[in-house]
Amino acid sequence: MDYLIRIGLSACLLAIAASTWGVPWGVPPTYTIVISEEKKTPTPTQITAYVKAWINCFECTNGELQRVVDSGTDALADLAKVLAGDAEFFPDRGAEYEQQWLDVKSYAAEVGREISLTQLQFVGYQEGALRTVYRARAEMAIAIIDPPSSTPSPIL
Amino acid sequence: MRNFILCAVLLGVSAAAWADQVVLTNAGADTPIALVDAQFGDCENDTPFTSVSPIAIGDATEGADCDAEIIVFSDDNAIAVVENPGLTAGDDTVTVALQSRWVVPVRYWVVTIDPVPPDLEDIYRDQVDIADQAFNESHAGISFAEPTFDYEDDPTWGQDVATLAMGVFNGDTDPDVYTAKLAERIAPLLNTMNVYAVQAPALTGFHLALPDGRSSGHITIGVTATMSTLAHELGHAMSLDHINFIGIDTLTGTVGEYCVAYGDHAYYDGTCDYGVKNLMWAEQSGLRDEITEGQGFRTTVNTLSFINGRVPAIRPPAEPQRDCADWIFDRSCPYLALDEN
Repeated sequence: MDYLIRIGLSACLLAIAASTWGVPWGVPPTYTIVISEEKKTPTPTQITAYVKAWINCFECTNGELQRVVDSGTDALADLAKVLAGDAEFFPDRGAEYEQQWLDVKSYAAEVGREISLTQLQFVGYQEGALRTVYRARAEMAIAIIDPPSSTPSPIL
Repeated sequence: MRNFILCAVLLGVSAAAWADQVVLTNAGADTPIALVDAQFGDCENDTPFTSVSPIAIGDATEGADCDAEIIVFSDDNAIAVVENPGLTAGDDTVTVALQSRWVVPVRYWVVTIDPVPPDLEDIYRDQVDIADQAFNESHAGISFAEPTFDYEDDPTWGQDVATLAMGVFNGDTDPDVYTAKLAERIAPLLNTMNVYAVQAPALTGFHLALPDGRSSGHITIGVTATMSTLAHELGHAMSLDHINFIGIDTLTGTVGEYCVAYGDHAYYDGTCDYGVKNLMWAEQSGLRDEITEGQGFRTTVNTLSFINGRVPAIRPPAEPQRDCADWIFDRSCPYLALDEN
């Protein structure tokens, strides 16, 4: 009940704020997130989505890490897959990156610039950068959920 | 019969002549886009017209209760905003002299702990090229100059910087503490986008705004951030927010995308009004090198944008400015997802 009251209060405050500012309805989009943080046990599908959101977010201001941590040890299997480079978390985007390099090269020539990397370097850097960030973030989450196992197992 | 035909021809000629047009000077080689606020019978906002110059815009007038404005988007040019262009009931020709894109200088401050890849400057030059391409081909009218570089290679200090940067990223370090640490060795350049590349593997990047919301001209990225990360952070520096975020639908429990745009927000339906290559998606993995005209307009005119918020400003203060947050869609601010490109 307390939870419902808080939702109602939030909605009232938002209505007042929206009418005061003259802003169209539904404005600050984060309110949905605030009222949706119910403490239910997430399903495996949800946990996988949480892990993907965490390893992949830019600024991560939306509670991405906390959601993984709140999933507890149930998230460890997915995090281990990230450390292992499992294809579920590392979809092959090589063709996209190759095309991006061609686009940048063509554009650079149009405006009198020159692309610096070769296509191989460009694609390799992009894939390596994602691997680095994903794994570092998986290690961060593991270190919080299960500190003793924060060191990646050699069998992974 | 002959009179009837003559009359019809005259009427046709007259109708063809009753048209207003926008004549562009200095236009790029692409097909420009004009968004027109005017009275076309009823008041209309942001009605798009796409053509090489001259752009025929039909019979537009400045009605008493209608807005009157022409916005022109063109590759290699700054966005032109012409308020009250003087549209009358007769035939009007509005001449718009397009200007070159607003140029933002970029300085990378590379804070090292361990040795960095030998081709790091090549990587960063291409990051800037990607940003330049994204903002130019999407008609945002902003250019990013070839970057310059500086290296700070004290490992102890570099580690402190990396730790504080991750603290800011995680939300548990005051950005002022972090910037004070940087200031021990680095004097950021004025009217320049200062990009601090720090060796924190889990870090993508972040942009720091001033307390009043204006860009501070400070972007931090991980040394190994993806190629599109800088362009994304530059989007923030030019006042843009993320176009989506991950959330849980309160009704279905589905984890999914929530899209930020008028009429398309705060619920999960699996779709958003943006291309998959949009720079401002909240996720880093995809190929990101586009923004919409609705976003480009904001990067140019918003008072919080880096090109307007500095003293002296990169874009002259006399140019029209707005406060079009992403979610605002009204007479002054086009729909964020408006994309005529």
